[in-house]
Amino acid sequence: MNSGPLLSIQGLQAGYGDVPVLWDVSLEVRPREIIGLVGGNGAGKSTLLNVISGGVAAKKGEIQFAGQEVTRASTTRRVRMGITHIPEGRLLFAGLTVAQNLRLGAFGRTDKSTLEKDFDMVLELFPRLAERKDQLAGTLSGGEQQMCAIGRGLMAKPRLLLVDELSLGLAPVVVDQIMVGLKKAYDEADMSIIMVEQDVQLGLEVSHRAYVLETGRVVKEGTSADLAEDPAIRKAYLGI
Amino acid sequence: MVVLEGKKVTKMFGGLTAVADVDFEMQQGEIFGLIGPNGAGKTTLLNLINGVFPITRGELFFAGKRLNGLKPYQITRLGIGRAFQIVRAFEGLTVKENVLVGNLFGRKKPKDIKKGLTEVEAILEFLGLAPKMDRMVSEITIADRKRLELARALSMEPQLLLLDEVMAGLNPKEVEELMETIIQINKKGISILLIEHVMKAVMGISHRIMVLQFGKRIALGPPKEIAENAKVIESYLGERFAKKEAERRQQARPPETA
Repeated sequence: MNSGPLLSIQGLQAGYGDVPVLWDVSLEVRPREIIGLVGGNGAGKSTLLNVISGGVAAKKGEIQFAGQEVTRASTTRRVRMGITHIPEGRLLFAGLTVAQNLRLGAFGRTDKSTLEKDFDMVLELFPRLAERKDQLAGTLSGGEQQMCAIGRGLMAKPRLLLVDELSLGLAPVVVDQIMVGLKKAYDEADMSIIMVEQDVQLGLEVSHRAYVLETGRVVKEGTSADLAEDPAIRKAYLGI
Repeated sequence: MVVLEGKKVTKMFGGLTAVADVDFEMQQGEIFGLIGPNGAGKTTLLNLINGVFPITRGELFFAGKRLNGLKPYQITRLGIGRAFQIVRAFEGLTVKENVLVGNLFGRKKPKDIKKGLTEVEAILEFLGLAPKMDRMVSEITIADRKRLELARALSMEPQLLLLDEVMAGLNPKEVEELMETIIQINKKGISILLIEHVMKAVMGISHRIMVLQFGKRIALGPPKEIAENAKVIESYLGERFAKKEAERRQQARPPETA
């Protein structure tokens, strides 16, 4: 259908109120690619994800998704087109059960024929969720909540999954479990992923390519393997 | 001479310890950087220093005077000024009037407005805001609002200036200009304690830097030492990256002779 990039961003500027956060960001995500976004506090990583999913408006620049311009498209439309955001801090519906949270992920889907199959698949990817599917999401551990948030995202059948700070506040062994589930989901679906990860090494190990952001600008991009050895990474976080 | 000293400074919000047993000494005339990941307790520490929050445990001293229990306005009049992270100027006043407020209510006894205005104009001149001093605050740019925040703090004639993320939202040229301005303020003999996420700036102008993580002090030293500190690298880039970095450095080093 479309052999070009799945997502293409040109000259993006965005911010909150009068305060600019992204100054000039251009980026490309090809089909099936896993992209890492790395950079220190205030670099604009989460803001970039928010602009892609439509929660924060672009001031300038252009965003193309699957060959269509979506720069000013509503969040709803972007979700229906296949952009799914797993926000930092998970933001589950604490008063609903795990199963209800997961099913809400599929709320905007027009094709619901495979919904039950997808539901079972998510429970297979994350067996802990199967054990707790009738439990209220607010009573889950941090790791289980993250699994539920990812599962909810997968229920939307995304073509582009935005993952913000998956490992935040979780024990390394739990992060590994979640990564295994996410990797399996990626292997089985036709999906690209953009990951923001505070654990830089993890972010670079999981992704194919990465962009280094520094105060709202892309200062470096390349294959993740090359960047892992690049002093620019440390400089982006620590200034010297 | 020590301008600011913290002894086992601790702040708890209910069961959460935001600042834990932090010891530090800041020298008169120093530019002292305060960094750390989100939620490290940086802004909370500033709020303890200028009395916005009462300290839970420990002690703070400014030029030898104990600050515990004092109110923000008392601490301001002792000589600690602050520029806030979120700029909240008086929107209905001009640039000059905003700074005059600090001048009239700040450190010195109230004086007449004419004399105050002369002093305010000198501050605005120094900060490059003189051409805009009669504009309404709502009409000036972000970079100028940041300068106005500095002007308001300076109008109280501080001996120590607390700066909370004054570089946020500025473009690289504006960051460089503001770095130069901060150095100029420091040259007037004003000690500066700054929180900053723009690392190039804080590494560039600080004499020493203190790093907080989860409320604890994990490092204190000159910028170069901080940027190479294993604990600091771990807190900013994650444990796995820090390990790799240490391995790389080990390999780069010539083999030691036994």
